Amino acid sequence: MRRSRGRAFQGLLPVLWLVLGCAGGRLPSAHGRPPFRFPADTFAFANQLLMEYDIDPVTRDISWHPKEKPPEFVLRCGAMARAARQFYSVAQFDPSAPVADDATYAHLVREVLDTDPRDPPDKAVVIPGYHDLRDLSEAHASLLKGLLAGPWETYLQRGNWRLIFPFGGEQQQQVAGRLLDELARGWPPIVHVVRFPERTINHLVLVFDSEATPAEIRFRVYDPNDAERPVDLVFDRGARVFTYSATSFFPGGPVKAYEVYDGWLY
Amino acid sequence: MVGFTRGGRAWAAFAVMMLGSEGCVTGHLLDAALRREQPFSYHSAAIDADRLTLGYTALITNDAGKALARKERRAAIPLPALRRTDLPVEAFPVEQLADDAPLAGRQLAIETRDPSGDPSSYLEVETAPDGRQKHFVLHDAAGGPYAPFYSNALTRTSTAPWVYPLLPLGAAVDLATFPILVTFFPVLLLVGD
Repeated sequence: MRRSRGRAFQGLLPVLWLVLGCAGGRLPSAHGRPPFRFPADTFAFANQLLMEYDIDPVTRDISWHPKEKPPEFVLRCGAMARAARQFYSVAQFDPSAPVADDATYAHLVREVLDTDPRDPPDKAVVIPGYHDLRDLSEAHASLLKGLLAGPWETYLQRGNWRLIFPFGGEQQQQVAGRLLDELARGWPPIVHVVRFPERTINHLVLVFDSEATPAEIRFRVYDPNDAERPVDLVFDRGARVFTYSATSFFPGGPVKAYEVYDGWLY
Repeated sequence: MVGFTRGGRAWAAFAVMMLGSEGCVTGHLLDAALRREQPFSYHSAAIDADRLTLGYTALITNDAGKALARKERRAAIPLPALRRTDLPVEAFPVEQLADDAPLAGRQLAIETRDPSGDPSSYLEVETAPDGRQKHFVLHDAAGGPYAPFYSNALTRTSTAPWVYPLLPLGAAVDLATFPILVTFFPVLLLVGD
């Protein structure tokens, strides 16, 4: 009896390990690429907003309602952040090579998107005729939109289990430290930004740069909802809180952040 | 489990399960009751021996950043720490004083632009676009130069008392939903992306 209880407890340990969120993924090895560049390494098109957002300029309260004409390319923040990092880590653009046909690009893009987003292969996928992802996605927007995964990839992102659990100040401080470490290794982390149980933001972005001062750490992020400019995710070192900048869909303010597409748990 | 009574084992199992669920409901209840305060504006400052004492109005916000109230606060900062440029705010030594503690010592003017009175000793305060005074530099010919001091080093957190009667209920819900969570998240891991 005692033995079976012991076994039951041992069985519970991995579960505890999982839900406590102690399991950090391993850091990918530095692959010797130049740092992620905005806008060159991002898509020329943006993930469209499903809703119309109204932000009160004084109170910063936010409300939303469906758009009159529903846009077609929506709920792809997860797919786009993931794909941007896959292109960054796997694709090698060769602008000196002649432009190929659509079928060739479809094949190459699929090859990039089929790679492991957590642990990219060493082998590069050469994409002829273009300088970078911005260039390619400007010329082949429809093709890329069609090949990117649908909203399900965002809904079923593996790390979504974590968002329902609370985040403490110490844990958020660890996240900030880890993001800095990964950027120092040349790896742009993907972060889930959330305010659960509120529904004001539930979003995936890619962190590509940082600036640390004694007061804060300012992370520059590629927000798939905005193809034109980067957004700031700022960690307040005193309050141990992340703050996401004001955007067209979020009034700005404190959020919780955790890394995804990182290790087998996230 | 040797040496535990039956009741003790039950409590140990309960504690383990609560830890395992990370107190999902209780944790979010505590988050909802979290109160965070940071200086909004400084109104008095004095040099008292080897420390700078401050009187300021703190803005109290909830976890989502919504402003709830303001409160008068006092704090003291050791001058040697103010001379250092390498101290991040989380490591800055701050002494929280009683809200009615007297600000003894040499009083300083608080200036947002060029000083109008005694130009040798004053607190130069920088105001952000949202009206918050986010950092200041102490100017004092007797002891400078000083590095900028960032107001978020004075962050205080507390918990609104209304949450405590709700915690047993939250713990009960956590306990009841724990098996569902344990079942649910491996499924997400398996089918996810």
